[in-house]
Amino acid sequence: MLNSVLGNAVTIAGSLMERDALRMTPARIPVVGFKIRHESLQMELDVERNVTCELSALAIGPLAQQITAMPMGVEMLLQGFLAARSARHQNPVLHVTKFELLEARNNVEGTK
Amino acid sequence: MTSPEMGKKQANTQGTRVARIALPLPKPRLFDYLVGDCAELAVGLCARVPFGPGEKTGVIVALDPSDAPPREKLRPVRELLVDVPPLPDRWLAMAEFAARYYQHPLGEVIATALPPGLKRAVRLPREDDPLLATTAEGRAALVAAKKLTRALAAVSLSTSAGPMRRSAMLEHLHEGAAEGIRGARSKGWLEVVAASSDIRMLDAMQLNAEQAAAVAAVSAALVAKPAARFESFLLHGITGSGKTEVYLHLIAEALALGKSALMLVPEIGLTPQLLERVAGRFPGARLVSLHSGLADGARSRGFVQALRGEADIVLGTRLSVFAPLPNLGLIVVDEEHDASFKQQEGLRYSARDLAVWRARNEGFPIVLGSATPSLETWLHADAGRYTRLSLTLRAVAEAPPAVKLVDTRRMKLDQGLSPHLLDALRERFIRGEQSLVFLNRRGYAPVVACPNCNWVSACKHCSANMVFHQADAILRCHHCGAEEKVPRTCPVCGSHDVHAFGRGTQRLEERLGEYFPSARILRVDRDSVKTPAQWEAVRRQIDTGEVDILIGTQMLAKGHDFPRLTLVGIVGADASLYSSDYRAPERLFQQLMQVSGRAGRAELPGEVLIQTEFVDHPLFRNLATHDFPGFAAMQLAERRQAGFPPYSYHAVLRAEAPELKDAMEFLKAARSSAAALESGVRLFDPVPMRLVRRARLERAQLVLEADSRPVLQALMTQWITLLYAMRIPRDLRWHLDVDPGDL
Repeated sequence: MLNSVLGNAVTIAGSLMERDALRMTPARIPVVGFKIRHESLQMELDVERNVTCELSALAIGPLAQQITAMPMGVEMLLQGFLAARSARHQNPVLHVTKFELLEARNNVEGTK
Repeated sequence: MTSPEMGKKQANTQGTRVARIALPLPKPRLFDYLVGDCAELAVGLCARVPFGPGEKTGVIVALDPSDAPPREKLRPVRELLVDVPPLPDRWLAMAEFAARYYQHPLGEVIATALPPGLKRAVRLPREDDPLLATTAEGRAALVAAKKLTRALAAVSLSTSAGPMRRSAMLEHLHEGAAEGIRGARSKGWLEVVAASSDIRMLDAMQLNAEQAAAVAAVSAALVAKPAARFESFLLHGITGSGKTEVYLHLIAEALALGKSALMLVPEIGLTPQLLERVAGRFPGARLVSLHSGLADGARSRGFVQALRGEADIVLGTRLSVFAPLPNLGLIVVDEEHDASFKQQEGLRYSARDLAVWRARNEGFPIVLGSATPSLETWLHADAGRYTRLSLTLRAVAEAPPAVKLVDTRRMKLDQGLSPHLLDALRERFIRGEQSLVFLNRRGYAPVVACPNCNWVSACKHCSANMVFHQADAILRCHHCGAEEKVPRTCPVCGSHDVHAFGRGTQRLEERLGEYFPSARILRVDRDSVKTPAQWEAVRRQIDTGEVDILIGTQMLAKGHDFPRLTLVGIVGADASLYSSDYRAPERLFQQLMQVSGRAGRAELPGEVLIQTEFVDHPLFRNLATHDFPGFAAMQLAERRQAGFPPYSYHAVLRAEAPELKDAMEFLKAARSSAAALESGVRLFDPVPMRLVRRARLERAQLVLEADSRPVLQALMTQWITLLYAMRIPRDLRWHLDVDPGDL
């Protein structure tokens, strides 16, 4: 097991499709849950194919506020790691650590 | 034995007597001292005595006992507090009864009953307590005033409430009361008026037929010849039926007979409001209020005033049952079912039960008033031991509030709020009427947890969760008071996304603020209202209509009139239905009935919405029909079947130690020693308490049950000696609780 950041690094592009209301943790850190829809062409056994998927994502801190300010449908490139939705529901959610808008190409980075 | 020191002591103590003194020590024994004979020497005097390397203060309970040890073994009393009269024999008899009944050392009983000043034996100067009235200049100054100074606050009080004793004014005014009064007197705004011997009641309200009948029934016992007679009355009056007016008429009768009156009320918050009302009605009477919120000095003064026979009316909480009124002729216990009458530490006494004993011992009537009497009292009335007096008519509003149940089983609730309740709140807000949302849970959320790793905000010292208080951004344990900053990330896995689960009043306040952004919302709980002064300010805000929606805990439930309030919404009542305490339904009913009673006073009809998943529960049905007798009959039938109080009598031995096994072992040993005594008392098995760990101690209990009080008492009297003699680990503590409030 590659027990480091490298073992769980995801980069994926997609459009913002669903978004919850911004909420606060007890320590008043903003959190927003959202979904992205991904569409691309990928090579599989030397054949080009269409790929689509939807992925749940979570942004925390300043990124949460930035995501909340985005118009729906906007295309972005997201970086982050996967984590279980909860101890009970183990399906993955992308925790965003950095994202950029694809049309405008202006980089938005999370401040730590 | 031949040291010069000893000789000197003996020389000093010639012609002296032996005083047996109860000292505040956790052992049931009295101590003998030598005391010089003097005119004031009497049983009931406070004395300062040497004890070990230090000294202690106690009360003389006997003089020259026949079994006193040889005099040369005794040390002399250091000082007698002769400037305070001795405590009356009847008072000592009550203390002795409490010590016997609650199996508690007499010295500690007395220490509980005495105010701090007497306990420390400080000198209490006799205070001048003039009756003050507003002068013409004072009135003019008040009219011309642009700002309410402290002096003007005093003037304003005596203008609105009429002539008042200085002590009563001090009670009422908050900061800088003494300077305010002094200032007003020096400016000539207040003058001393002759203390009329007239202690008649002013502005007596016309009583309705039921009230008049109640007054007549108690009066008959008050004026009985040749002396007043003991009789216990249960004044069962629905909310708003004018119980207080009955009390005031009875107090007036007692005063007219030259007697003093004692009125016990449940909590500190009730006192200022009631005090104002009583002081306004009896301007000539010497009114003393006693409660634990008073400064030590004020409490000691009030106690000594009562002791000197210089108080006509004592109004106070639990501890004032010990007010040493020499000429007492009437006791009133308002909201007699209230749990605060039972002390939960040290001497675990019930002020209501002691008050009944006191009335019987001293031979005068006692009135226990409530809209929802305790089942103990209700059964006494059913059995004819107490005389039941019923007030069934609302004196003020026309009709009782309409109680409706909101079935939440198939409903989507938003932070516990049903669409029905939100609509009803909106309606009241638009009409400019007040609403109250009742949720008996303080804080923002009862627990913070991490969904990622299942961490919960458990208290380090208790088997309980820490409650999230958003206003202070802290986690606080409601059992031991421990506090910590709310963590930024989960302390176990580091996730930021920790959640606050469930809801308390703070969260409700936040959500309602989002629904009704233009409404004036006020939260009233023990976090937002901590002092009587704050409570007064809140009450004024509510009275003057500066609040649209109130969110409150049981603090708001008790006996306060809010004339603009027309809607009460009850959120989260169901939690009590899951409780395993056999008293939970009784408490829930009392609480809901009380809080429902807040709706629709004055001219506006009231409505109560109870959100529940148990719409068919008989408790709610009785509540909807305002049927306390029906509820009581049902509960009593259940209790009889289960053999629970009031059909049996309980005592509980509790033990706490750093480790549960020590507590359990002690209780097992205690149980064996009780079993060997072969009484008719049923001994349960020792069990860990529901909240096992509290403030780093682990706790267990052993319940004793008997079919009669004498059987239980007989066992405990023998048993307690064995318990004191038991060898126990140094860090183990135990206590015996007779007639426990919770099991």
